[in-house]
Amino acid sequence: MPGNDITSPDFKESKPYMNNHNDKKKEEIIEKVLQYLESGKTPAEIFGLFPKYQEELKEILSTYNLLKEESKKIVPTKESFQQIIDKINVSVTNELNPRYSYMEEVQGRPSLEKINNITKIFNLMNINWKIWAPVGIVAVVALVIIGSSQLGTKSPQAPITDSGQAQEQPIAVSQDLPKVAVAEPATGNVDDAVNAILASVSDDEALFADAIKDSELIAADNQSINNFGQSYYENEF
Amino acid sequence: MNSKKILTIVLGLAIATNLFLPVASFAQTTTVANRFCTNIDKILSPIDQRIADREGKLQAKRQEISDNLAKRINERDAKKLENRNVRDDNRDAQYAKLEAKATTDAQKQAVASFKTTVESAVSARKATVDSAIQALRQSVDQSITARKSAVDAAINAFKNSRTAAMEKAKADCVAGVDAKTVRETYRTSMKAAQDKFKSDFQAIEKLKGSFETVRAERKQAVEKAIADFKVVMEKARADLKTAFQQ
Repeated sequence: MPGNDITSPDFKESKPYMNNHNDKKKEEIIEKVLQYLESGKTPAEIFGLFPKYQEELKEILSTYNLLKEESKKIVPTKESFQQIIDKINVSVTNELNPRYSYMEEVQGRPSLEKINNITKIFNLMNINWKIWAPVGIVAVVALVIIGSSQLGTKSPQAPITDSGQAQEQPIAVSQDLPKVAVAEPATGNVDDAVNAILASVSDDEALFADAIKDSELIAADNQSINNFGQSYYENEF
Repeated sequence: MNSKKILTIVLGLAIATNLFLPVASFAQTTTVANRFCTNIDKILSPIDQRIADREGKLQAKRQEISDNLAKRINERDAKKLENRNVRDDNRDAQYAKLEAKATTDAQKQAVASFKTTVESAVSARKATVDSAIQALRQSVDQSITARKSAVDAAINAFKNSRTAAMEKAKADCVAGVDAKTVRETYRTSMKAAQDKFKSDFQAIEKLKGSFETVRAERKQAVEKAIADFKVVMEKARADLKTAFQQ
C-alpha cells in the first residue's frame, strides 16, 4: 500500500486523523534515517528520500550530530575514571590497569551491515536445507534398499582376516658374550701371573650365564600357540 | 500441505524404516540357521583356513627359535675358543717368565709344580663349565622337543575334534536334523575342543620345570668349580711366593 510507505510524499496526508499512528510512523522514519546515516548516506540524500519531513529531519539531524560530538567529550579522563573505580568498594580483580578501553568508536546497536550478513547466512541455510533434505532422503532410502537386498541373499560369516590373532613379536633373547680376552703382560712377578690366570674365570661365568638364557627360547612360541588356540571364534555363526 | 511437511514425513518414514531394519534381521535368524546345512562347507571353511594359517605361523616360529638357538650356540662356542686360546697362550707366557726368573733348583721345581697345579685346576674348571653348558644345551633341546611333541599332540587333538564335529554336522544335515540343532551341536563340540586345547597347553607350559632342575644343579656345580679353582690358585700363589721368597 502506498500510504504505508514511509518514504512516500503523501504519507502524512493519507492518515491525518491518527495522531498516535503518525507518531509511530515518525519514529520509524527517524529509525530509518539513523540506519541510513550509519550505512554512509549523506544528509542530502536522506532528505531527498523524505521531502515532506525535510525541515523536521534537519532539526533532528542537527541534534543528533551535536549529541554525537558531545558524546565523545563525555568519555572521562583516565585519571577521573581511575578515581571512580577506586571508590568502588568491591574488588573485582587485582589487575592494576584500568579496565576501560578507549576505543575510536563506541559500540552501539548492531549495524545494518551486520544484520544484512546474518540475513544472508539465514537465507543460505534455508537454501542448503532445501538441497540437502532431498539428498539425505535419497541416501537413506538407498541404504534401506541395499540393506534389505543383502539381508535376503548373504548369510553372516566370520571374518576371514586374522583379527582375533594377537601380534607376534620377534624373538629377542639377549646374549652377553664374554669380552675379548686381553693377555696380561708376563712380568715374572708371582702376583701378576696368578692374577692373569684368574682373569679367565670371568669368561666361563659369562659363557654359563648365556647358556642359561637359552632356556628363554623354549617358550618363545607361546604367542603362536595361543593364536592357534583362538582359531575358532565362539560366536562365529 | 507444504513441501517442508512432505519432506519431513518422508524423512521420518525413512528413519523409522532404518530403526526397524535390525529387528527384521533378527526375524530372519531362522533363515540363517537353515542355511547352515545348505552352505555348511562354505560356512566352515574359514575355520580350516585359520587353523592352517596359524599352524603355519607356529612352524615358522619354531624354525625361528631353532635358528636363533643355533646362532647363539655358534657365537658362544667361537668366543669361548677365541678367549681360551688367548688365556692358554698367556699362561704359557707367564710360565716362561717365571721359569726365566727361577735361578735355583728349588725355584725351578716350584715353578714346575705351579704350572702342573694350575693346568690341572684350569682343566678341571673348564671341564665342569663345559659339561654344565652342554647339559643346559641338552636340557633346552629336550625341553623344546618335548614341548613340540606335546603341542603337536594338542593341535592334532583339536584338529581331530574339529573334523569329527564337522563330519557329524554334515551327517546330521543329511539325516534331516533341524539346522539350528546341527549348528548348536557343532558350536558346542568346537567350544569343548578349544577348551581342551587350552588346558592341554597350560599343562605343556609346566614342562619348562625340568630345565629348572638342570639349571640349578649345573649352576651349583659351576660355582663350586670356580670357587675350587680360586682356592687352588691362591695356594699356588703362596707356594710360589715362598719359593721366590717374595
